[in-house]
Amino acid sequence: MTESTASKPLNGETCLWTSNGKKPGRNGFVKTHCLFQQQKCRRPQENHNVWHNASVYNKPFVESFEETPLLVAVLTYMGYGILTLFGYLRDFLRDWNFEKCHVAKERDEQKDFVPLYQDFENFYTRNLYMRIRDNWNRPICSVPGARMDVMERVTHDYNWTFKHTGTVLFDVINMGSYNYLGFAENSGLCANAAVEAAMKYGLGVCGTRHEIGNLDKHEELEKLVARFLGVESSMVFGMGFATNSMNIPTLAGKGCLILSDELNHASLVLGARLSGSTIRVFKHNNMQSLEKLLRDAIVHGQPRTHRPWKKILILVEGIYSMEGSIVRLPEVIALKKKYKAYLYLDEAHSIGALGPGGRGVVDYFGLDPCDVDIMMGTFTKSFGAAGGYIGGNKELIDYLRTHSHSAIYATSMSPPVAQQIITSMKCIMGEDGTTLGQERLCQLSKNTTYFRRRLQEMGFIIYGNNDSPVVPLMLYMPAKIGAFGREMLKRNIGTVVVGFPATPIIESRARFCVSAAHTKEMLDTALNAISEVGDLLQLKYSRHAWPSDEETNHFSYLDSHQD
Amino acid sequence: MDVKNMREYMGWLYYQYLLITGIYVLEPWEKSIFNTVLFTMVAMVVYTSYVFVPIHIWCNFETRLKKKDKYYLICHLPKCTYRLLELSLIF
Repeated sequence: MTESTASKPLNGETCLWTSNGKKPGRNGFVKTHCLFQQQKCRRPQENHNVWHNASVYNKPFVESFEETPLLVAVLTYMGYGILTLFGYLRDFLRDWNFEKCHVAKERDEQKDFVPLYQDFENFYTRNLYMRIRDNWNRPICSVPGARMDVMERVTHDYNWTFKHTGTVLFDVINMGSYNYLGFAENSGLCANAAVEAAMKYGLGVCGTRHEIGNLDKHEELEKLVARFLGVESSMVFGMGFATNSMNIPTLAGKGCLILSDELNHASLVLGARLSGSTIRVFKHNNMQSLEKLLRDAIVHGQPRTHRPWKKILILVEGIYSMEGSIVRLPEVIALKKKYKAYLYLDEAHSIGALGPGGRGVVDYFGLDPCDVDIMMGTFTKSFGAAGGYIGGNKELIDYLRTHSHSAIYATSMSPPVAQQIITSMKCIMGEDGTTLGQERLCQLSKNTTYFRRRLQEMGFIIYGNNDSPVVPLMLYMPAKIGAFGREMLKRNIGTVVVGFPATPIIESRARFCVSAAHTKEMLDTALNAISEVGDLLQLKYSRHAWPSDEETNHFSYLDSHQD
Repeated sequence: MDVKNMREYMGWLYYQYLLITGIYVLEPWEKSIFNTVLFTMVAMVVYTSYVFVPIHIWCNFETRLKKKDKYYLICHLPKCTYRLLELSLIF
């Protein structure tokens, strides 16, 4: 529970039989020809997960997932226990009509039927989520750039209903939008081009790609995306989630095996389930676990008949948005080549955000795009638009054009959105004649390093890779989720806080997304506010010794002011 | 000035207590219920320890002094306890 899965090595098994003709050693343990040997010494590892297989990486891969402190874990469980008791109390009062029930209920006439609503499924929603609901779904009334305007809301019945007061909080620093390169703007090159496209094509497409919804803008965009990624051909779709959930069923079916990472996004999980293939899950970013699954799959084949699998598809993401970790792509590619599997890489968060040229995680590691069979990504995050793409071989993409559900049934991308992507992509590639793209990439990388370093020095527990622009800050306790969101908004900073069920029950967090549009002053303001709130709420759990702020942490509570 | 700092500090401690137990998210009447229950339990613990802990310490001391190993034969434990209970009832 408190240890991270990425840093734990697989337990060595004692094999009584030999698969490769070698005699077992004294304790029955056979050395297998695994590509990635398990760690021999079983010392508890330092949490900085560096250099397991140094030969395939050309730069340090530093990820850290610090363990939950035991006291904090115990107190978090205690907090959840107390809130559960009060949840039962409130449910009892609602059931016996001592207080008004705001939740959907069946009518009296239907009491004898099979119940429509299972109470316990919504227990968490009714009794915890509702109490801190004002931290989510905040209405924004401006473009979600580096600063945004948030509409103020009040609630008179403890978050069951909201009313707008009419006031607007201006210039709230936006630390929650996926705006990695700052292309979410309402003026400038991209916006003007999008306006022109709207004037020429209108806004609606009124058809699917198969029928009259295929515009020349889509063709232009697809050629550009293929050139950007370095693949032969690509196809774009109107919605990022639908790209995954509608295309994985096209690629894999019955008799295929899907190996998917533990922490994959809901769209990948949904697509895998819809496909009807067998799904096996490997531990997050753990190459030994993946290798074991591959070996077992090839040795044993399909479950009952032991026939070989039709294909084995590995589903991974470039950056995992809840952890901030980057996939170990060189190792995955080495495994894929050795065991003849296919790789599906979902670069929703990493395209445009990683790599010297902004071409994603493949560029970040300096690998060949041809090694990844299917490169998928979305335009929502770094390009300031909406939609998704899939890139790969020409045969693959031609197959998808005819067989994908998205192509046949879903409306295609709107023209101004396609134009926004075209302009922003050309800007990143440097083809529009300015150095704006390169400047933004450098700014993002600098901002990421600075922000992460400062937060770690302050003493917070930060998960993830040092180069990922997604920064999760651990909160743990349920009351602190609500308190953090509210305190940050009071200081004019908009943040996203996440709890169960998007994360494990005790590991709730606040997730910051660093953007190239943030200037250093904005980041400093935000960091000072985060430090203040961290002292107020006692969030500085980290036990690593950082040189600058260790002395001040002990006495900082005397200076902090109360709520 | 010192009183103001103390009050601020006590307020901050109360805020930490609200956050750690998770009561921060509850409505005011639920907070009152929890505080009342907790305060009652703590008061009962304090009262019991005030009444019974000194006598148990004293009897243990006596046991060790007289080198006997039977706790309940030593001293006038029932009478002492009775007297102390009488005293506490007066208060």
